[in-house]
Amino acid sequence: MTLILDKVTKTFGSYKAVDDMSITMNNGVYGLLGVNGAGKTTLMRLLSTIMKPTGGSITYKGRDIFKMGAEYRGLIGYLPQEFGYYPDLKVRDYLMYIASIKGLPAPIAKRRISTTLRLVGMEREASRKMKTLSGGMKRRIGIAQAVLNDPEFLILDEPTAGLDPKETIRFRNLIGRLAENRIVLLSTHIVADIEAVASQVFLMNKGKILVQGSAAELCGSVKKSAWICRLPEHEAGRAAQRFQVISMHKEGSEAVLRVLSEEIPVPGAIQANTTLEDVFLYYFGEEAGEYAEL
Amino acid sequence: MLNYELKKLFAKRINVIFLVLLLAAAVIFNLLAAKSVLYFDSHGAEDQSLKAVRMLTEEKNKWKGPLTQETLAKAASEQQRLYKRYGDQIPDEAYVKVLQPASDILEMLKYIGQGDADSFSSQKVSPEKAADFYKLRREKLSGAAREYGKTPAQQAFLKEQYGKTVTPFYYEGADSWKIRTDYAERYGMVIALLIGILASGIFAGEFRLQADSVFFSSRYGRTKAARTKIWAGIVMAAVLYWGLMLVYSLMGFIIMGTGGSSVPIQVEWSESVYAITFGQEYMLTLLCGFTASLLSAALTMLISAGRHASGIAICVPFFLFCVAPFIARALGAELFENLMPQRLFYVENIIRTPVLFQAGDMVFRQIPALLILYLAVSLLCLPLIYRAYHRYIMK
Repeated sequence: MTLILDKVTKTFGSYKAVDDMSITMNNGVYGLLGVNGAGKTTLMRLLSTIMKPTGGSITYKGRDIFKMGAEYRGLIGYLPQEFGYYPDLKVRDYLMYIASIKGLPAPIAKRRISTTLRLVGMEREASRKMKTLSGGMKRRIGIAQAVLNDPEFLILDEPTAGLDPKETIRFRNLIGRLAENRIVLLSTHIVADIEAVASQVFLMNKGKILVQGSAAELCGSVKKSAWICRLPEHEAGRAAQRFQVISMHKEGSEAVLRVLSEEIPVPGAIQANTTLEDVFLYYFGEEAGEYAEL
Repeated sequence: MLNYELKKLFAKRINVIFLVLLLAAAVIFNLLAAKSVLYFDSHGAEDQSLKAVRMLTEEKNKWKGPLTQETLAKAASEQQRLYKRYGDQIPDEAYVKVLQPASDILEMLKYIGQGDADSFSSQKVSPEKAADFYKLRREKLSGAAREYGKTPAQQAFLKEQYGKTVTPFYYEGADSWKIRTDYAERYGMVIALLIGILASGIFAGEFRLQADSVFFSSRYGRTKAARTKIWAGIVMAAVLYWGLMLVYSLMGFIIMGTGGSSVPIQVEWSESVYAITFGQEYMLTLLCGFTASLLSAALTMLISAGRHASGIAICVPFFLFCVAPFIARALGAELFENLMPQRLFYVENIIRTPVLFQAGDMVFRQIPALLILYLAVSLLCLPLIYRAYHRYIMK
């Protein structure tokens, strides 16, 4: 099972959302990491065939996915970022409908729905109307509909958005179980999601893949090191202007900063292991500022 | 899949409210119909109760049976006797006893009196002339064929259609059918407009709810599911229309009775080119209303599938059935006006006057032309709706 994107481009007028992208995916979990506007969602839409590329080709097992049409769509599961649902349907009816448009015969669909609802911890909510579910529950149903047809290629766009920490852990475990014998492409800007489950990571920005590899390979690609600095509170601001700050918090009268620097930033700073968050900040710099709280 | 498509449609509270309103409209239209009849009781007082239609039918059934020469002469003779005795000041009791039961027959007789310089009304139709009604009617219809037929083919067609009417006419009180048909036309328009609103949501729902990504990325989203949506629209339109009309009809049968279904409409409309009974006219009205409902559903589905929204789609049936006729009238285009889809709700008007269309040697009456035209338009919409969904690509 190989999915190949060959020089795929998607433009909207003069704006290139996906720019000459070439990647290959085999079985395993792939994390797609990037800031908002990096082109992740467009890429996911191309892979789910609801958008057509302006240039290049996408092949699955050597065949063009757009020519495969329904056959390809029968092999994928897709959770879009904006997960729309039918608010007046009950959870079970919603999933039965999705199962029917995915081509599952009713008896198989019923079994799969029971299994899937158990998998996402929603078996008790089967008779509730979709519109009465909480945001996290809806997201779980979104995941359930995506895996309903036991897809060979699972496309998940921001799957943990709106999930509470417990649900997020449950989801990560679920992805771990689902990863066998299929391709899972997970798009997110939550680094911890990727770190927990992805065997391969794509860092995407401005429609291009900046760098790809395992989490360890990505950490190794960073030319700076992570440092933990303890500074008097009044010096923290000055340090933040000089270095790339990953995180900052107070401990008593001191400010504890995690910064990226090629050399020891301040006397007494302790070198730490580089994480994906560091990688994220290193590559996205100012654009990743909004994620500094991560 | 169809089950869930329909479930999606009727799980929405607003759609259920529409259904309840349509059922309420069936009750209201029946009550209005039953109260619209003009019936005077034995004391000459106007009776506006729900029983009025049945009472009037009962009165008119005194003349039930074939309208033979003798029967027609007798009706004219009784009328003449009253006018000779009272002039224009006929007392209420005499009116109720003689003229009210025979009113349909006397109205019918007016046709052979029309055009005579000294016999404008039925009051002048003598019993002798009334006995010759069928012969005189044939002669007048020959003139009508020449008047309305703009080509020899149309004139021959009219003569042929006029010849299909079986004489002597069978008669009994048919007011319940006349009123029922009148209100069925109005009710049909209300149903067709609401079917348009309901159908518009079938193809716009995915976009409105942002469920399009999951739908179109699923195996059958662009094929079987799109076809099922079309089926859902047709099934919804058919079940809703015929179900509601069944309710409307049954209520009407209970309130007003069913007598008079076998009376030919020529008793009321002498120059009609439709050799049908009042019962058949009612069925034709329902069929035309159903065609309009299908058209409404097909057009709104097409527009909502193409535009990915239901706003404009909802307005289309309203424009076609309510606004466009005024525009056509203002433009003065007779052909255009006669083929407007709102005509499907005016069967009673259409059958009165012979409006014909001709293509080569083929001559069509207005109702078959409207039925064929709008069934064809509805059917043509279906592949276009499918195409709009089948080829969907997010921009």
